[in-house]
Amino acid sequence: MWQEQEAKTELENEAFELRNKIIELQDINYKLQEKLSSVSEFQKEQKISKSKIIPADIIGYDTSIFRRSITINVGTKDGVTDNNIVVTDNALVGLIAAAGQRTSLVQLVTDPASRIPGKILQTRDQVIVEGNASPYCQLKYVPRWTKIKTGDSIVSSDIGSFYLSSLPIATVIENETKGGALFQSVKVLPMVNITKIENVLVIKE
Amino acid sequence: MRWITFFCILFCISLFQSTMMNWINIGIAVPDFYFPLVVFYSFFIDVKRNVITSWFTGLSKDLFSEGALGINSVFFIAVGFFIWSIRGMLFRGHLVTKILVTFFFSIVYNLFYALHTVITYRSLNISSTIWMIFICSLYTAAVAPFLFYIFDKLQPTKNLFFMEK
Repeated sequence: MWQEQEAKTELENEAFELRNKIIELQDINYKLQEKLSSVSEFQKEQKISKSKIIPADIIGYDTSIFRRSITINVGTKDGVTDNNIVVTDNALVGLIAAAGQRTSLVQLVTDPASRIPGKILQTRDQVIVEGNASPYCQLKYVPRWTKIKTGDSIVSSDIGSFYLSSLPIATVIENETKGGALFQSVKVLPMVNITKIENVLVIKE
Repeated sequence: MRWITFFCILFCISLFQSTMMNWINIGIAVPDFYFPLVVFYSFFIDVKRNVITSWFTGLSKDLFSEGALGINSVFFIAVGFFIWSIRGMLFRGHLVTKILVTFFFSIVYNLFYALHTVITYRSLNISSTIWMIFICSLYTAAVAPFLFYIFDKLQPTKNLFFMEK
């Protein structure tokens, strides 16, 4: 009889402790949910305020055979500034080289003056995508031991804070390692064929 | 010489060259419609006007192209002056002369422009650049007779011969 009473008291204490634990956990849960919602709201706000997307039409091409640029019909009046990124079909087109009031000049990835920090998606090696006035680009500083193959994707890197991270740039079409050279010679084909597009998006950071 | 006609031609060429490039190219071969204009005026007008027309033509090309402003003006003035200085040795009225002079000087001009690009950016591939220069010059020379015909209609050359000296 006395033992039964003791077991009952113990169970009641245990139940009380567990009930307290549940309330404590519910409180923690509530606090965490509140924190989570505030963080996601903050992220949403950041995304909206940080990047603004401006659609634009291509209105002109470069007249020189050695330069690769396009003119688009948006300018500083629409909020475009120098060094804004230009994309289309989720791939990098280039960079705003000069923003006028109503039009802007976009330096394409194939322009000889273009140097874009990138990385090989499959191997995560950092490279530089360099234009050479032809429809192709070349990769610079690809170490000779990097296992790169045809079809590998090159995406942008945010090193230097000029470009957004992981924007597709080009695909590897040819690579060669010359005897004694420190780096591989890699030819890549840009994702965007500028002759086949009429519209682009300017991403304003 | 009709300056208004010259500026109208220049405006039309600029408009055509900067908007229709992707419709008139054959692969990487793109014609340069500015160049036959420089050759045309170098053939038929005096040195002073030749320099002015070459300068405006180059400036117009510079305005529609990325890069240093004035570089094409300098090259066009040099090419225009050189063609003007040797034109006495050429039979200017013949179609073959027009094609050959356009082709040869287009190669020279593009080589100098490529050299400038190589020195500035160090990113051109030699073999592909030389091939590109060759086929672009060939295309420019191929369209030159047609352009010369249009220029001749708009700016009759017989009216320009009095400005030869």
